[in-house]
Amino acid sequence: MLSFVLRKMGMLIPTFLGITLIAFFIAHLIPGDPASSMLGILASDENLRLSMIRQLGLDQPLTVQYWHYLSATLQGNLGSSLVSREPVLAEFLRLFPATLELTFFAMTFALLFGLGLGIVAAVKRGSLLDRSAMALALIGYSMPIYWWGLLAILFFSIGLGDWLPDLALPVSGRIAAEYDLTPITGFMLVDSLLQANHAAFRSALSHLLLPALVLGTFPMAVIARMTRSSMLEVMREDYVRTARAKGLAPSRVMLVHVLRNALVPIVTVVGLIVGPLLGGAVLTESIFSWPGIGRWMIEAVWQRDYPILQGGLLLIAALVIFVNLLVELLYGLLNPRIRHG
Amino acid sequence: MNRLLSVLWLGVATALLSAPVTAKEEQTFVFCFEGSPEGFDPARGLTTTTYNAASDPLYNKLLGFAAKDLQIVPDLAERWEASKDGRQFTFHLRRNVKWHTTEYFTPSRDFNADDVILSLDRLRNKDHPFNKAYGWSEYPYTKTYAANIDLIERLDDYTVRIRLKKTDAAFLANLAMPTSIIISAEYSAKLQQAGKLPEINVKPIGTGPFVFRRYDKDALIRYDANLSYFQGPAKFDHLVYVIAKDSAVRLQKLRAGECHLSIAPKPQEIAAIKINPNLKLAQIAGVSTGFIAFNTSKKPLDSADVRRALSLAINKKALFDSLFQGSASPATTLLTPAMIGYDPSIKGIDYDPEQARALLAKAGLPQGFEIELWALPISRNYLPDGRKFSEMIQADWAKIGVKAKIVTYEWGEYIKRAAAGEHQAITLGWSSDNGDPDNLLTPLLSCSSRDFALSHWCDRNFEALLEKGRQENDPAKRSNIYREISRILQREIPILPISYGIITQPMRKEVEGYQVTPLTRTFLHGVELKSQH
Amino acid sequence: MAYSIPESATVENAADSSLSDVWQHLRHSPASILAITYVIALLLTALFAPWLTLHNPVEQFREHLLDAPLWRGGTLDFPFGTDDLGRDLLSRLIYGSRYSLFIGFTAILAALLPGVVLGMLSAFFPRFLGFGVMRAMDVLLALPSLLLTVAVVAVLGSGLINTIVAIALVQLPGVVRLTRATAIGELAKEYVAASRIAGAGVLRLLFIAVLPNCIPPLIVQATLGFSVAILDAAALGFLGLGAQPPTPEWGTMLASARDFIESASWVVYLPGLAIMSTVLAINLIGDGLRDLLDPKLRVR
Repeated sequence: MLSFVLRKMGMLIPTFLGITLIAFFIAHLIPGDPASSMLGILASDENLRLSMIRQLGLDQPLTVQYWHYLSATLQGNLGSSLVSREPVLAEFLRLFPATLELTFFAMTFALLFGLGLGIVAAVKRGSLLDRSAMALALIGYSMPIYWWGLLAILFFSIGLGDWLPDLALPVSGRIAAEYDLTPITGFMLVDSLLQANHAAFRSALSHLLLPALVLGTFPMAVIARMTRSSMLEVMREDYVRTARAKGLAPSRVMLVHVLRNALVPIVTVVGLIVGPLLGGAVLTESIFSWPGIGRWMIEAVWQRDYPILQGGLLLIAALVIFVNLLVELLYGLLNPRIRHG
Repeated sequence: MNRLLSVLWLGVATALLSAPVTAKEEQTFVFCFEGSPEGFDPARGLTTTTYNAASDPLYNKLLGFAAKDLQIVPDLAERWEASKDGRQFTFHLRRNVKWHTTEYFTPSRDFNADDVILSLDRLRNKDHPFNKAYGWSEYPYTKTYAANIDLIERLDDYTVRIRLKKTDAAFLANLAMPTSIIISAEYSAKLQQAGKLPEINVKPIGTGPFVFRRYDKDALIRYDANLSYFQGPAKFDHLVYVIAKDSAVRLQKLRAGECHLSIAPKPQEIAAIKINPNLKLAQIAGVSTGFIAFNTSKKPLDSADVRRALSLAINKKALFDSLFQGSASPATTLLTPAMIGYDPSIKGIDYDPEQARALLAKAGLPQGFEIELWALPISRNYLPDGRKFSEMIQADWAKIGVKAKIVTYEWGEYIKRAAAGEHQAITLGWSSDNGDPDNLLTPLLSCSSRDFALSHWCDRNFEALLEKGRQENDPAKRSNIYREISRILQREIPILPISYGIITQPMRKEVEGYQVTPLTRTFLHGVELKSQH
Repeated sequence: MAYSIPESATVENAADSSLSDVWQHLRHSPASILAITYVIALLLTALFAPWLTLHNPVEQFREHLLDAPLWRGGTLDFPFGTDDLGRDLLSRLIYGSRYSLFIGFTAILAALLPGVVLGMLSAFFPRFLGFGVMRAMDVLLALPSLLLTVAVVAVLGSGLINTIVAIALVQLPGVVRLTRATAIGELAKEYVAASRIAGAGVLRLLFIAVLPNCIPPLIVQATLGFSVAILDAAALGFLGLGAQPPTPEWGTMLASARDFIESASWVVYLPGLAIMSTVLAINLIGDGLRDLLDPKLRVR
């Protein structure tokens, strides 16, 4: 087991280095030189520009620059935003809880409904229930997220706002502007409870519903389909038929044997969904003005704030690699064949 | 002893438990705002976004503008005298004006002459120790008038005398601009000592009606009412600017009651606002002009014929009927009707695509040419829908053979690149900060202007006229100078005026006492929320 | 946005399916038939767009801003209504199909060609080349697909070509991994060992023996990748980073539609419906193909 873990971690190193290379080159591939970007309106002053170039070390050979970049990165210095002058890492850590809260709820929704739909579909295979569940999943799988978001706002915020104003969901943001919560953990729900502000908690919850629903639709569809096919496959296996032949109640068979074994590939899928989830978060956060790292990255693209682009990509990639590593370890744990294969 | 203690405890407990919980419900005013401020030192700011977000709530200036008619009124200067030659001004400062107290600063004294002196010195002197420690000396709209200050004398704690090098007819108006803020000398000294002077731009201290609390980048700005404001505290406890860059989102939030006031609606939204029973609209003619500026340093825009051809090709009537829908009025000159020197006899450029093509042929471009047209990314009162506007211009120009590629950037980026002169034809506008024509003309068209000479156009005769206009104190003579200027601009067309802005601000019916001003400012001090929603 | 195949997967493959199998399968699935019909119809409209549209998709009819579609009281002149600049929506949707399909095809092709080559080379030379290529693919996979496309476009600039490059880059790792997995599976077989002993060259082995067996899973991958490409291209257009106005790309059309969500909702739901139904149809076909090849194709 240990060698497996070490082997997997070892493979991470070249991947991580590759990512730092990409991040490093982003700054140099963007048209215009980084010194001018940093100086902005003062860039027309040639002396200032040249001294900035020297200060940033841009006149040195690329390999030297990369080495400096790498060592700075490993020490946690990812540069500062060109717009706000705040360190990139600090901004990331400040905004990440918002995205985490959103993706957590989206994933919960996806798991609950995905597993539910998938199990029902597998158990009632071939029935109308099965077909409608899979049709629903297929639609959720094919829908553009931002379109779904716009429609959701149309129905649940604006539409309900006209018909049933008390039930209408908020249009954007994490919480109503009146609530000034001190950010302790960065998670609105937790912070509001810690500060015993129940009205704020309710506000934060209502703001979370729609974005989580929109973001969680795609993973839900994937999980539903995966659950169904995985369960069906397991149900075909010999040992299940043996269990049934031995006289075990069908439900017990389902729960104990089928589901548990079907969960294995589902775990993999859940892990691999992190990437698309973060990608979907970019779009969801744009639609709902959710102040997380997705929106942060898009604003950075718009503002040509390349330190954020560099640092953000690096951090997000590191996150995805880390989650994938956990999933691969988990997978190895559950499936001994992989460990030694 | 024990009995006494227990009785004491009992007493305390009873007192505590029976104390009436009179926690007054705090009122928060929420303003759905259009963009992020460049920082909280508006002297550095280039856009009205920054002035609305940072200058109006936090700071005062020496002088101000009356909301409706742009008359100059006292602010931190209670009264003032001007010398006969118009080059010397003596300001008598207001007493008992308190600086903000926050978690990062507690003032030890009231506002006085030292603050005025520092505030003006940093603007006029690039090498001032403040600017050296600040790492910044480019104050875009103030350095020109401030550089004209010869001497600032501190007559006593509350009297300051300013002598100018040359007469400047717009000097008082310039002192009332949102960039001419008065900052705290004590706070600056404290930060400078700690080597942290740049923090002034993120942790501001002013004398204004609202105290800075927190800025969540691109999300919201939180202010608390300044309880010791010299005009009395605001009628609500907290002020929140919610940054919603999409005008549709602002309207949705306004309708849902998530904010009380909004800004810059799109023309098609105005009809919906008018019929909504919960909302009302405030409108006033602005002093802003929307235009297309031609960068004459890039061929073929160096030819006046080409510029005229491009102008003739635009179907203004169709533009205004379909795009603006009453949210702005057609412009004939750069100067707005309210400004001195506005000439109503100057007609705008007609729609004549035939003549346009002829002019292009004359300039040696009968087949047309390719051009980059920059589209305004943000909604403005003079141009509520920049993207749509650019697409319409693109279609108009295509008809005379000019192929336009639409380019746009995020607002802050847009301004930066425009200042760097990267554009060919750029859609932009100018909201006058003080109603004075020089404030509009000098940054845009002066030979010596650096940041906003969008047309990169320099004409010595024109420059001389500008200088004359600045120095002429007699209103009639000044008006004639600016009429002459408008005529020259009509001939050369370095900038094609398109629209005069009408300031439109939608708000909830509960909002009382809000005064829209032609200067695109947001003064929330006297505003009240009538009924709770 | 589809989930990727784990690196540890191997693919085994058996004899090809025959045409009659395909027809048998289709007969029992009306959904698949519908999907195929839709896609063929879409291809035809895209090809014959200039003859099928009533108006030029970029022409602005200033008298007809935000005209309602036929089912909301509109005229036959503009059956699907017009947008906020007076452009005919039906024409724009039809021309938009050209862009979506073009982007999809080109991006997939641009991913397949280098991807297959890299995948096969990795299988044949697993120690250095294979290791290097797989680590490079890991790097690409570490970035969420949308962020990678956004980053590429941020660097290269917005526009159609760069969109295609960005999407192809995102699809590449999936193709490489699949090809490599299939190739490894094939290489383990006896006939390959036999050929090698008989003295067959590497290239011959690659193209005559291994490649044909890689095709079925690649077809499935390409189909699903196609729908992902359309979604990603539309997402870029929506974010303002893809095709620029006045190009009638479906995603770009949605970007400005947000303002009209209430006043002229057809401007919002029509382009979105176009995207969704196209992606849905392609996914259905992809599913059908996978089911078809399923009994013979197992991802372990």
